[in-house]
Order: sequence, then structure tokens, then C-alpha cells
Amino acid sequence: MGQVEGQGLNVSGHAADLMVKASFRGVRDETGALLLGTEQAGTGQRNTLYGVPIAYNSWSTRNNNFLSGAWNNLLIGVRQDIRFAMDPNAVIADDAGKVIISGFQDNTTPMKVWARFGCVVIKPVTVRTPLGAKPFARALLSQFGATGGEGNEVVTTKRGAAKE
Amino acid sequence: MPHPQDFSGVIPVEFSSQIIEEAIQQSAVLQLGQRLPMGTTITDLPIPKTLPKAAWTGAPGGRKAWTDLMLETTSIHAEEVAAVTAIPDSYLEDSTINIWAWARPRLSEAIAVALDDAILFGLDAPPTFPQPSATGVGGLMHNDYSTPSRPLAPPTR
Repeated sequence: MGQVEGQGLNVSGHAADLMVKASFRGVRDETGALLLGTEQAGTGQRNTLYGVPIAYNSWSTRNNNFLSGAWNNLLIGVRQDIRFAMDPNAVIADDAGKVIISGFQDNTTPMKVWARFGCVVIKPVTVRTPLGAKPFARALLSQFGATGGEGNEVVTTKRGAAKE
Repeated sequence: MPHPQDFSGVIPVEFSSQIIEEAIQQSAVLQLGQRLPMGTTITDLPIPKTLPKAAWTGAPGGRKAWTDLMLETTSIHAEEVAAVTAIPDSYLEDSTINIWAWARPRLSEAIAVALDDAILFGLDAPPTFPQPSATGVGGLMHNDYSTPSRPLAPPTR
């Protein structure tokens, strides 16, 4: 978080692999408050970390498992909502053109799902970085153990150790 | 028994909104990023290039300082993500479960994982998406604090 804030940007959220939850579970800051929290979002609740939303998902990579940033600088263009089509006479072929499934011949119904998205990351100009800030930071947090530091900040990471 | 071509009762009409809502729940970038409806394949966005700067005039009636206020254009390109699968007709005819309810979250997850992989890590990303940095992983222009100046060591207290 400190790296993003050092660029002059407010951190608006975190994204983390689902296994990162184990690193934060039971961890408290210097005031004894749990790092993990929840906040009201409409009719439901969402997870927070240091007071900003965090999204946990099961990622396919293990190289980085925690991202912080000013997510309003990540623009996801939605050109077309997700659509699908099912056709019992459709044919599915591989890259070489070889027919894998013939709906008519195999008594199978192929289903196709598709959507169109765009993406761009803005390097916003800030007072601190007039040439364009880097809006995101990443880390590889350990799955287990007491690693709870991030950036240049240090947090108390004793599991379940409530401060009296 | 309905003919396999008759998917009424299998696929609800509101399929699209359901899938995209489930994809949002399963994708970090769709949850946290700013979603922008695109009217065309390529959309140009004006973004600030410089920040204006004000200065004190020093005395009443003094000359006011000039400042630049510039915009630049960045483009966002819509790319297609898709998957095909097949369901045997016998499943559709004989299944005692709701095939659509079973398949829909998997399809949503497939789209969500493809989006997160491409945008966060540059995995199989289209050329118009943010590309992995020269140092490897990470599709975004973020700092790398996996090797910080001060290691991520456990605290001393």
C-alpha cells in the first residue's frame, strides 16, 4: 500500500489469491484490530483489508498472490455482454480443422460462450509523480506463518493475539 | 419428453445477466476495476497528461501565472474471449438435474479466469491488453515489492 501511496494515489482495493486468506486470518494490527474485516455493500457484505475492499479468487499462478492499487485506473471495457449459443447441428473443430464433435453425427449439442472485453491501465498524473504514477503494486505473501508486513509498513502478526 | 432442440426449461431467458453477474463475482478485475461500456470495437479515452498549477500573484493586480492543462488520448480495444463445449443429447433428455444451473457457473468462471489471467498476469493476453513487464510476471504497470528494500520479515514483536 505504501508503494502506491508513495506515487500519490489512494489504494482503493486489493486482489489476492484465495490462499492468502490463511496468511491474514487471525492477524491483528498494533491496535489489536483484525486486519481482515467486512463492510456493508448494498444488501450484502464484502471483505476488506485495512479498510478497503479485497477480492479473493483462486488464481492459476503462484508468482504473485497479492495486488494492491488504485483500481479506478484499470478500465475494463465491456463491448458485449456474455452471450451463448447452443446448436444441435453445430460442429467443433480443432486448430488444424479436424472435426472433434459433430452435433448431428454424435447426438451431442455444442455450446458456445463468448464475450468481448477491452482493457487499459492509466498512468495518472499526480502532484507527486507528474510524469505518470504506477497505480499498482504486487507481492508474494507466504501462505502460512507470520508474514504480514507489506511494503515499508510493519504490522503485528501474532495469530489471535488480542492486545489488552 | 421434449426434443433435444427444445431448451425451454433448461436455459432461462435471462442467461446473459446471470452469467455476467457470476463472472463479476469470480473475477478480481471485474470487481475492482472500472467497467466501461464500449459502443464500438475501439474507444478513445481522453486522460489528463499534466496537472494545472496555480501560483501566488504576489501583489494586487499582479500578473497571473500560466499553466498547462493537457489531455492525451488512449485507446481501448475490445477483444473476444470464448469457449465451446458440448453436452450429449442423452444428458439433456435424461438428466434429473438442471444442466444449465450446473454449467452456467463453470462457464462464468472460465471467462473470469481468462480475464484475470490476461489482465493481472499477462497470460495469453491479447496484444492490445497490458503486456507483462520486462521483469516477467504482472500484466499491470505496478511496482514490484516482492523484492523490497526491506524484506517482508516477520515483525520483531
